[in-house]
Amino acid sequence: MIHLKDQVNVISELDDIDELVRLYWPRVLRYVTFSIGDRDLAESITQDCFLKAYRGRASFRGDCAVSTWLIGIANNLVRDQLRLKKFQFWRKANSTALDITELASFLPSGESSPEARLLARERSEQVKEALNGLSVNQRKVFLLKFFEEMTLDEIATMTGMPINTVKTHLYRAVTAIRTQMGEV
Amino acid sequence: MNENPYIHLNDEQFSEYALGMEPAGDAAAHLSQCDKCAEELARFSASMTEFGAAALGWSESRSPMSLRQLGLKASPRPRFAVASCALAAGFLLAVGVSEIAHRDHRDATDIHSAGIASPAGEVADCSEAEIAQDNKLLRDVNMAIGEETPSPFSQYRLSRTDVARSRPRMGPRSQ
Repeated sequence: MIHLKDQVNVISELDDIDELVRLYWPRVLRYVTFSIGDRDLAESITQDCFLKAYRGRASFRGDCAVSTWLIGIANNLVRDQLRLKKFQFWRKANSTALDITELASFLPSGESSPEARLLARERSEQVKEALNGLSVNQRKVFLLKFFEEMTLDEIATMTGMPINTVKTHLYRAVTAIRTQMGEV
Repeated sequence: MNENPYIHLNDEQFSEYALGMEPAGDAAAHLSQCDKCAEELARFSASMTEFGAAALGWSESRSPMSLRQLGLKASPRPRFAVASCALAAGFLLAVGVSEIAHRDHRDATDIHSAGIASPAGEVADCSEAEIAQDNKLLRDVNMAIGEETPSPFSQYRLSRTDVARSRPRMGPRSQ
């Protein structure tokens, strides 16, 4: 149960549009980019997501986290985009997928050796390749689970899938990644 | 090494561990004894964490524009465009009407200030003496006309009654 004070804080947070973007833009952009596989389009969709959220902030009931609410809006926008035939054509013709070299430069380095960093890069590339091979629904539930750390119930609510379907998609996604990593 | 090749975690059990669930059966007992399965699970979890962190780092580097800039950049929806056009047309209409009204008012003001009184003002300014004077003038004109102009009937020695009798009747005849 969300207390009134917390709800007021959330509403104030939604009113400050720049703060909203500052806090949640990276997570929403990450989810959209890996859901749709095109970074240029992902930025456009993320922008739409925040504008839609800001304009519809009065409808936010406060019964979930703001990040969950935003990911839900982004999820709907991605779904609408994937349904478009022109997107399917455009994706084949002019996709601006995220390059693994660019992604690898953001791998957490810590104090690891060059060999360890190389292995980490290789593993990330394998995960990325495996993600590209997943179906739309498998990729969606996988990202919601491992990126957004949602529970199975939350994923089922957001996607409208039965919880057993969510589980099945996740099992297949995990197996696909293990296969790509040469573990199976 | 505690590896037992015959009872490794199956795909479902591995997936459940990877998803943070507790598989049923003796999977937990196996995992506590099998280094191979434990290492693989640890490697998988580390890969997910690294990949998620790298993806988040990349998206953080794609610094967003200010949302106010986003709002300006966003293309207007068609209904907003129609509403904007209607609003602009209404504004122009209102400006045009007020300008015409203002011009008429200005003309009237100019006329009044030039010393030409309006009819309403003329009536309002008339005194009783002036009205009496006008009435007297009209009576004099009537009298002058009545005395000097001969009646056309007197020329033929006819009275008004004779003329009325000789006029044909337009009503139905009686048998």
